Amino acid sequence: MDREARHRGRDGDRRPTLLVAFATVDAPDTDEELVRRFKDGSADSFEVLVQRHGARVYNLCLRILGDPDEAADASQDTFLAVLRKLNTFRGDSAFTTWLHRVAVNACYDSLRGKRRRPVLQIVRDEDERPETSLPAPDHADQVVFSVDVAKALLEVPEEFRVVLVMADVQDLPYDEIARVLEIPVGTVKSRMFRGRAALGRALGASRGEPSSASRASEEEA
Amino acid sequence: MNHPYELLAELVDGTLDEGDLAGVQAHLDVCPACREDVAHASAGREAARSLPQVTAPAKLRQHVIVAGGGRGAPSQAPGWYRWVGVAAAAAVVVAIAIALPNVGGGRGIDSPEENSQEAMAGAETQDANSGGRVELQDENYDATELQELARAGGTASAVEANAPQVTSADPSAARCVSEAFDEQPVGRLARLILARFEGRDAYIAVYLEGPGADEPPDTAAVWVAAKDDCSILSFASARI
Repeated sequence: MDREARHRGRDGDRRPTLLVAFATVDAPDTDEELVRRFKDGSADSFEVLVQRHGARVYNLCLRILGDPDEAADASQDTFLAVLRKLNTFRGDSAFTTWLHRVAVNACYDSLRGKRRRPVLQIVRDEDERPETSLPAPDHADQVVFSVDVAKALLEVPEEFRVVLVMADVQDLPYDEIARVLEIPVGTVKSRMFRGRAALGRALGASRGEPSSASRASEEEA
Repeated sequence: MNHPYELLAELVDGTLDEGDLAGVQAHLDVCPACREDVAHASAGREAARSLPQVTAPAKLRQHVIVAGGGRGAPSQAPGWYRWVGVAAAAAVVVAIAIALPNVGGGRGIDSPEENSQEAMAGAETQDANSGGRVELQDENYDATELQELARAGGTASAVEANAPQVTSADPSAARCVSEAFDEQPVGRLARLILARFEGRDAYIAVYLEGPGADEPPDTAAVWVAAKDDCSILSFASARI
């Protein structure tokens, strides 16, 4: 079954699809209150949680995985796992901490699956870039730069990339990242620094700047 | 040479304590690799923070299937089932491979011990279970009773304690549940029941899920699908 087919659903048009934006939803209830109500039988509470955190989870997965389809799948897997486990969620940590942990695990699962498949090489094809001799609007330059950064991000070793995305893209504080990944804060900072250095180095290489060998990659081994 | 990555991270963030600054600077004076890393890390930090938040693609919204909701669909299906998505294509093979060999086995209620033996039986189990035994129950479950079924974790719940146990071969039952939930039910299929859910004929599958690495199951998930069209009816889970 191909990706599009399974996304259409097994019985095609018989099941209507729901167009729901994964936009941030402002609702007065805290996550913990919604979880409590879900456990008490309020099914709609789960929907609010998904709407509230869907975009954030998708962005996390997108920056870690680098592929919109895989990010969408990982996002779906994340919320399915949350759905299945929510009744057993004890609340020892904040819901968002737990959610991020589930999402990161879904991304790791996706990355492990990717390693088993033939890897499509990330191509830095100069032909893909706009003609640089022509003046371009600032926002177009920014878009091109973002594409370059997203590609370079995939060259950062995974364990550094996960921390880097959570800190610099998701803007999570270091102590929260430490709780999500269940590692010491010092380890978060260390991975953070080495991930940023690897990203900067990859970006420099993509611009043809000379650079020494990747210390992050060497030390990861 | 040990490199003070934690402190270098703080240096790049601009949060380094004054007391640590001299030590870090002394290290940078003698470590060209760290000097280069600091320059790269500063650029990397700025670049990563420039990445925009992306709106989820429209097709992602299309992937979210209304299962049991919407026009013409069963009204008793809770709204949150609309969020049940789709599984990876590989899961189709995996789920069927997991589900079918573990169904029934010619008995009514399978005890955990018996299921453990089944799990260890390997190829013999697969052959013995190929018929797909389903427990037939004259019960009409609701959400609360499903939760009790989940808490019972693969054994008879209080709801069904007095129900006569009859089994029937139905190889399509596990597949119906698996398809209804887009191959999401995973783990060991401990029980497969044909009963009613809120008045509708339904297959009820109880899966036991563990953390992996040969650890014992710690969660029971109950998946309920309509018998007539394999649509989603309900779901419950509990720690066991």
